[in-house]
Amino acid sequence: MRVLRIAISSYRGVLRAAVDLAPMGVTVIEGPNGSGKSSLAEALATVLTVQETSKSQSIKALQPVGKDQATDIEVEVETGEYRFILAKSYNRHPAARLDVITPHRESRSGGEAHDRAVEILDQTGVDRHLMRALWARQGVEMAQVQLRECPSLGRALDVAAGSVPAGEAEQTVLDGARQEYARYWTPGGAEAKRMAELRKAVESARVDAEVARLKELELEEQVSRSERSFRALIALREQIQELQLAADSHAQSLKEVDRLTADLELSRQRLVAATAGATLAQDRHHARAALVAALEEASGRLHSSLDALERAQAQEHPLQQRYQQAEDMLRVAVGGSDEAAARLRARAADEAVLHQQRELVELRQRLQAVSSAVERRAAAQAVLGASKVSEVGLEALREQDSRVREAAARLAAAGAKVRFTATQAVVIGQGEELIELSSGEARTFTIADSIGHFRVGDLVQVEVEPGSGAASERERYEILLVERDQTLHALEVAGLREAVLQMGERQQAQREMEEALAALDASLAGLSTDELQELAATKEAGIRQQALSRSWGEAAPETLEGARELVLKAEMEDERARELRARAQQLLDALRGPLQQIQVSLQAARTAVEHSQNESERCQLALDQARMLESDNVLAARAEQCREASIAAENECSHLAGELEKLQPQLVRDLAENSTQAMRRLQEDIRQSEGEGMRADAQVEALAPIGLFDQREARASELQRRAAALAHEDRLAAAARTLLQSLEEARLEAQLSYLAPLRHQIESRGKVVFGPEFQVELDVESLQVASCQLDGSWLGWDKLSTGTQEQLAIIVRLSAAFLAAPGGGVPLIIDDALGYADEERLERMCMVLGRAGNDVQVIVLTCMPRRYQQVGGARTVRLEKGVADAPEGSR
Amino acid sequence: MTFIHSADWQLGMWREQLSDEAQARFASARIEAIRRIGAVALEVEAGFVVVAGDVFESNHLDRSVIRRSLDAMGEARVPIYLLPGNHDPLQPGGVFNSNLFHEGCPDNVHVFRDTAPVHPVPGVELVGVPWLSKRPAHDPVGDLCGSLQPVQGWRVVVAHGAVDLGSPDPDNPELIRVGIVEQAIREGRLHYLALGDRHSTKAVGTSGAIWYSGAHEPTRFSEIDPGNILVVELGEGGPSVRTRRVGSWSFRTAEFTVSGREDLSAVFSWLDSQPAKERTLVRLTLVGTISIQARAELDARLEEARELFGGVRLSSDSDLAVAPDDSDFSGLELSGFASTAANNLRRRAEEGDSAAADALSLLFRLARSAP
Repeated sequence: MRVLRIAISSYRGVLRAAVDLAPMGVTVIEGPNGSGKSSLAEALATVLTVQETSKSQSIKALQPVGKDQATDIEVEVETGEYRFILAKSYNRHPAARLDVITPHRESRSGGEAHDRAVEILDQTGVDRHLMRALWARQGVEMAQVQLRECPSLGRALDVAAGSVPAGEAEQTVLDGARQEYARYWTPGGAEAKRMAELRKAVESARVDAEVARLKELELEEQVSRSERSFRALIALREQIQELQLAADSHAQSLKEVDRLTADLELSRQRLVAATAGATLAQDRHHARAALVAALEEASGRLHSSLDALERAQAQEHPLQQRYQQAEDMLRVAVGGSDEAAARLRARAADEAVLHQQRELVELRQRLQAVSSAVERRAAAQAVLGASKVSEVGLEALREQDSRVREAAARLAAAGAKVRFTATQAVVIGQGEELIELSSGEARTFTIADSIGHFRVGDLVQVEVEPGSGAASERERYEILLVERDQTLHALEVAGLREAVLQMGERQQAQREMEEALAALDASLAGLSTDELQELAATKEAGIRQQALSRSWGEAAPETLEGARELVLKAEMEDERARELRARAQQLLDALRGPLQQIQVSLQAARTAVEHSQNESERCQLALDQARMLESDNVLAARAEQCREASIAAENECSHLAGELEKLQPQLVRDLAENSTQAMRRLQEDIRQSEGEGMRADAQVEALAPIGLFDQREARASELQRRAAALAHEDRLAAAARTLLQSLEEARLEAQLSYLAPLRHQIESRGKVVFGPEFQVELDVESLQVASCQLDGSWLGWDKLSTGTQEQLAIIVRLSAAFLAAPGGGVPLIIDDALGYADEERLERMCMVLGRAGNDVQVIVLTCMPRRYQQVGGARTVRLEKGVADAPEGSR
Repeated sequence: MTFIHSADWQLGMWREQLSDEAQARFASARIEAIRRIGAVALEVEAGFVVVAGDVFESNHLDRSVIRRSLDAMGEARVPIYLLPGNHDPLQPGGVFNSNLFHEGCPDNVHVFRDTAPVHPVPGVELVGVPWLSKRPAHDPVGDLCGSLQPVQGWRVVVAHGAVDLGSPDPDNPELIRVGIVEQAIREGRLHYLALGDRHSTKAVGTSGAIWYSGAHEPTRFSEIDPGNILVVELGEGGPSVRTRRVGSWSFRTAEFTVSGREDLSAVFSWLDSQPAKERTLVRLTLVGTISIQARAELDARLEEARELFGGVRLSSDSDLAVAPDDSDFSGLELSGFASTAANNLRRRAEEGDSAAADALSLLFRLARSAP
């Protein structure tokens, strides 16, 4: 696209401006600030893209400030085979008109004009993104250009790279592929959540299906168990029928065995009985013989016993006579002894009476001494009770009396002394007392407590005042005096003397008391007076009783000593009588032993005779009785008969045992027992089979079979459906991934290939400006400069100076415009740029711009005309601030 | 004397190629067919109906299936004799032993629980040979026939299982020995053997008295002439057998070799020509190579067909390769890297990279929707 003319009026602060532009080469539009340079560039973009009816703020802002005027823009454009003039009035009275000049004239107005213009631009491949990108404004737009969004550049790069250019459809495909990919995969390449959930659902369905399948399998197993049990039961019942036949046969054999066994048992019992009978008969025969022998032996023992009895009787008679004589002697000795003992007791009793009489006298003396001591004690107690003077009290009284006397002495010493020495007899009065003094007699008075009033005769009255210390002494004296009087009163004595006398009397009475008490204790000897009196009375009564009871014919002795002599004599007679008695007793004792021994022998002999007689009689009786029942001959015959019967029974037993042995009874029993056990075992097996079948049936019922098939089928169907869906999704996911990978790879490959021409274009221009070592690296995605090599160093875009960035940004735009030019291209508009370039760079940039003008329409807007003076071949247009169309001119 | 011979109802059957909705219709149709059998029985004045095994698909069906089936049977005004087969043997926990069956069993419905003869109508002795387990160890039919004595009137035996005649393993002891049965027929000890197990209607042997009735509704693609019942008339000259169709569903297969859009058109035409599509399952076998566009079109049409038919699927025998051709991308106006990527993918797809082929299809779809 080439812009041939731009005209504006009432555009912001610009009243009117218009420029004619060369279709190729560089047009430098000069003008001061506010002359409308930038407005022209902006108006070009506006009129080509914004409808005249737009009410947007950006369109409203085009109006001159404070004026409601139409803003007019008119451009003449050449693109492809088209050349047209598009004029639009914005804001007030919106209007649009399109006049197509070539290839065919046509005019449109209003919305149609806009639509047709857009159609022509689209038809001729005008890249609005590129047009926007190639509008370089100082500061604002001098940053990295956004070339990625420019389809024309993409196509140009595709062409330059030798590939078919990609269009919007490819981008749509790529976006669609990305969306498809995102349905199945995360950006990191992992499976998307939806897919994971699908997979989980399949697994869940698989588990459900497996559970249902296993449950049905279990059911089938239980049914099979039940069937097996049923079949086993039938087989067992058949077996048990067969076994029953064998068991019946064994039972029959067993019966025969039992019968023979019973017969044998009976035979054995008979044998036992016969044997017992033979034994009994033999025993009886032996017993008869033994009885005869016993009778003979008893007769022998009787004869011997009778001989022994006769011998004992011959020894016992003389010994019996001697013993009776000894008894007579003893009887006489005992009589003499008893008499002597009685005499001794009578005389001893007399002696005792006399002795008691003497004791009675002593008791009476002690009672008299007691009475005397009691009287003396009472007298002493009376004295002691009459006086209250004790040793302690007396001692206290003595002490108080001593202190009183000392106090009196001190009082006397403290008081005034008045000494009257009578030169003649005189009566001295002191108070009521009259004291007569003879001549030469002196009398001293002590005035201790108060004024002493003396009268000496009737002539003189003397008042004597006691000394000052006397008062306290007197007071003390009186206190002590009172204390002593209290003691005297307590002791109930008049004074110390009386107290001393009473104390002497008390001490005497105390001694008498002690003596009386000693006499009393000696007389009583531990007894009380009453006891003593009772003792005396008892003793006296005893004496009287003995006197009354005495029956002894001999006269009682008079004295105690006489009584004692008689006693001694009786004791001697008693001793002699005892000796005689002892000797008689000794003789009797000596005879008693032999006599008793012979009497025992005699008794033993009599017992033996009696026993032998009894035994002999018993044997004889038994023998007689046995013989009466069965004679000795009959007894012998029966014993022989029993022995023969025993032998016959034994033979019968042997026969039966042989018969039984032939039947093999143990084998028969074992077989029968085995059959029974086998039957029992089979019956147990049957019970087990029945139980197992019932359990299996119960298990079958417990598994709730109804519906299991449908559950399994439904779950299998669900699993199949989900698995199929997942497989389908997996396939789609693989397809989406494969497609996106392919697209991305192809795109990267294409990007790398078409980056090369852009980089070449940039580097070829950059080497002019920055030197021959200049190289550049472009970002594949954004097509922006990533870094460049300047003066041997690679620097990132951000590390470049502002001036370099600006120059490089223009070079990139020039390169892009150059590449896009064959497809129609768009103008490169440089608005007040290169303000940071030094002279050298500026010159080189001007040269680059000049060269670019050969291929691209370059429009330079500047308020600094000198900055672009070095652009070779440039056409200069000057705009005056607020004036009409600029005059055309060029250099 | 006329009776109805049917078998292999397999009520409650699931087909994996059916959607949930179609499955429900399919299951319902098998029950509905019972009512049609009842109507035919009434029409031909049949004395009874025998179902020779596999009445139910499984012994562990949902309660609703059992209830609805019994309800449909109860509506028939004719005695129905059910024989437990290998799908529903008389086992603990099985359908016929369930309280649900006992409680809901209509008066006109009877189950052969042993080989004891029954007399549904005067002059006819009916002997069922029920399956007591899923794997019988011997041929109970042969055993039975060997022990049958001549009978006054007609004797019909109802059994289930494969026969040894034409079997690849004729010595299999589980197989029904046709020779013994025919011997009994010849000797007048047996007049008709109503068999179940094969889902296709078929006469067995040469006696004309041994028949598989086939399933009353088709169940799989491999069946030959399913969906029939047999109207059996017992007369002096032996049994006379006629088929009556009661099935409403169809399982259809077709094979196509496709190498271009014209071939695909034939496929689409075939699909369009099918009657009663909602009750038809289709299995297509497609062999050949088609372009991406053609594949996309095929997929779209199959998707439409799936919405229309009872079920549509490509068989495992299908071998349909996708090979992009120039026409796939000529109208897409791809350029630049997208064109490069397309070319790369195409090359990989031609080398057999299925992911690349799928990626191409996706690219095709995205490019078509691009401005």
